[in-house]
Amino acid sequence: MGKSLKKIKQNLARQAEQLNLPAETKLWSGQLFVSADSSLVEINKITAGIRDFSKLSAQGLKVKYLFEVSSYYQSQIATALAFGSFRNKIDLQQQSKSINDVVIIIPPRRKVKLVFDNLVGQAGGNLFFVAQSGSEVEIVENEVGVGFGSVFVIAGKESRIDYFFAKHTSQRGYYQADLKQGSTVNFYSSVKPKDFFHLTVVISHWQNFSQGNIRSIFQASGISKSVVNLINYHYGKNTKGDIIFRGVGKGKAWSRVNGFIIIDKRAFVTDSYLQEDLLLLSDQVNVKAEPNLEILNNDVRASHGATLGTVDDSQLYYLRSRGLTKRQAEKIIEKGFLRSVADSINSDLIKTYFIDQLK
Amino acid sequence: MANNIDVNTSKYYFRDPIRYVFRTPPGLNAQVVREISKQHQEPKWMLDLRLRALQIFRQKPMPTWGADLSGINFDEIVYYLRPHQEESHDWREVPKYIKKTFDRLGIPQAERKFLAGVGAQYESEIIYHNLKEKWEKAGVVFCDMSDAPRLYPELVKKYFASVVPLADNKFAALNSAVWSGGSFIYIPKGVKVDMPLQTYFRINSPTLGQFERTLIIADEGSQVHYIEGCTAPMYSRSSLHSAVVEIIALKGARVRYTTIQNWSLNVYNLVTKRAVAYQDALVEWVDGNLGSKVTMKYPCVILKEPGAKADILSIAFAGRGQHQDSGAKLIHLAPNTSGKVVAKSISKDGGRTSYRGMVTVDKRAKNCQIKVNCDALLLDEKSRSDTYPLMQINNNQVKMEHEASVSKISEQQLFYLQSRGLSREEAERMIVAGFLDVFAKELPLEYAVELNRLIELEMEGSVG
Repeated sequence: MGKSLKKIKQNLARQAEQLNLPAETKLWSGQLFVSADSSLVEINKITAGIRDFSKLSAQGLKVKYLFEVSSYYQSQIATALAFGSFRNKIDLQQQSKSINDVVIIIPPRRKVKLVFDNLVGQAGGNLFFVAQSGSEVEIVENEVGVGFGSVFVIAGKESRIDYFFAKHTSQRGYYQADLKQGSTVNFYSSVKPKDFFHLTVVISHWQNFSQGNIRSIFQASGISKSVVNLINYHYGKNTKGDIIFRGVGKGKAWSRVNGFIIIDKRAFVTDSYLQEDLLLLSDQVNVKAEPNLEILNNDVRASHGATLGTVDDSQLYYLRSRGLTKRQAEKIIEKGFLRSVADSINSDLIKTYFIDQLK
Repeated sequence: MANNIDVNTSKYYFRDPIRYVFRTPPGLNAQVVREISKQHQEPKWMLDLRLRALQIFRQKPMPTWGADLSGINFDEIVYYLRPHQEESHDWREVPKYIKKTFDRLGIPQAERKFLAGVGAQYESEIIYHNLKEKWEKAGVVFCDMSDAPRLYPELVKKYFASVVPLADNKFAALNSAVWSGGSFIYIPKGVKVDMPLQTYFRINSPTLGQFERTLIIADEGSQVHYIEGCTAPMYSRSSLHSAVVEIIALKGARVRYTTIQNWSLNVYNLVTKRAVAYQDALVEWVDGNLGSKVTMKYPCVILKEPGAKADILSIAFAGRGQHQDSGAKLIHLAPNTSGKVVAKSISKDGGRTSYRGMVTVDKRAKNCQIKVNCDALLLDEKSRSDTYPLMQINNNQVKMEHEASVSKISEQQLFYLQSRGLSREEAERMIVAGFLDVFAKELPLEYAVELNRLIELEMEGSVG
């Protein structure tokens, strides 16, 4: 491993020590910590399982461990790792302690469709996608067991990355994209938290003319407790960002949804939007939505909207008058509400996986 | 765009030396609190309450969120001063440029003298006096808060610190310990006070305190509009202003509280404002923040019984070196309650405005309707605008909407106005005034005129 990487990892560990757990995470910190720490110890046992990269290599991708890649990639990854203001204690601990990080390099101007099982994440390792200039990648990540590794996407110049992930069994997820000039990154996610869940998705626009979107659907039910952070950080000029979050709350679900748009001093002519819609289907749900904006210059278009409410009575009436029970009618409305997010997905591959989540 | 707007902040810096009958030494301890209580000839229970609040103040940590408060030194502040009753200040002694500012703002003669520190001499209060008599006949109480514990002990005992408890936050505790001044208002059942009550009606009381405490009790079916503060730059001798306002709107009452504050640029303005609305009551906060170095102010309404309504309108204007951290809080505890928040902010010259809002809907509060709308206007590239809305919903029968947008003055609008013969600066001023129009409409005429002129001055950058 390169010197700078080692230093950054040490730095992260130090930051993690100083940091306190956020208030909401404290409620179930015990659970998260156990899984994060105990599995890290067993990492060496599982590494053998991830060694099999043949499927990925078949598509012409270079798959390597982090310590194997050249210093050129290492420095890029180091910068991605170093930018950490949105990470909490658990993210930092996982990212600094993990030793079996895997790097997947997508060669320039290659079009790749990738469906893979995230074994790296299951082993607590970080996964780095480095898309070189002009490449076009569609990625579908399948969840394996209780995954808790982080994923970093480094989008080279003029590249385009569509990334889909679903979280059903995991307890945490951290996704970060670093966008270079003219690149586009779209994160699509479908989350159904089982018990405890913490997700952070960060898109940082470091250079000009980039575009980063997050589309997220969320189905919380039972006694699940979840925190979702969706962040668009604009540093470069002429950047575009769009966050759409649609969630359904059922049972005694407890959830916190924090959206964040940050527009830095130099980030002129940015266009950023944040929308959080939540459909509440039970009277015992506890939802907290916080769409935040921080804007440090004036040549911007930034807006956000949030709605929270229950099923529209007139819609319910319409469906019930056609012979459906209340339960069925609610289900249809709920599916329609979530499905509408899929309309904006360009990639057919991801669209099928996305719609699959609603069945 | 920003180049042609230049603010001359020196207009805030005028002061008159004041002689005191009494002042406590700087710093805060039990002795100071006892002394304040003694000066007000308070009953013992009030002193006990003050001492309890002091203890809480010492235990509470400084808030780590929001604006930067590191500049406050609690040991340097003089917590109580009582100005000389027969001040030798004369209107003629007031510097010319201040008079000129007042002229340009169109401030009433009565208020001018008060602002310039010659309030104690002001005697021509005949009109106000007549009005006062009319209210007193109806049973309306409107007096200095400092006298209230002595004059109306039952009411004060029952309602004081019932809305903002001593341990609410560090600055509420500080205020509870050292408060002096402010207004005490009680409106009896069914009485409708049609003229707005204004602070300068009781202009003879000692100057506006830095730790004022206001308590408004509107009994069943009553109606009142209270106006505090003024649009003219107010020079404060102390760097910390920490007030507490409590409003109790009983069944069917309507209370409107209007504030426009324009503190001098050295002031930390940390105010706790909260109202409780009982059945079918309506509470309206109209809140304007223009001056001060740091403002942290979040008017709050607790909708405690069914049918209660809240309406909060807040504007903030931040210039160079200012941070206006304002917002609104709605706490819905009962079914069929509704709330509306409109927040507008303008930042220029590197100023920073933040909207920090909170909407909480309890399990019991079914069929609530909430609408939050915040707009921000950024006038130049150095300025900053943040929005931190928080929505906490604990049941599903709620209609909640939140909208926010941040933008600069649109070139299209400027072009339109310029093509009609206005200069660019005039056009900008007009657009800003239009942006704040919702707010100006809610003010009584004279204040609306003052506000418009003040905004014009801010934009123009030259006073006198």
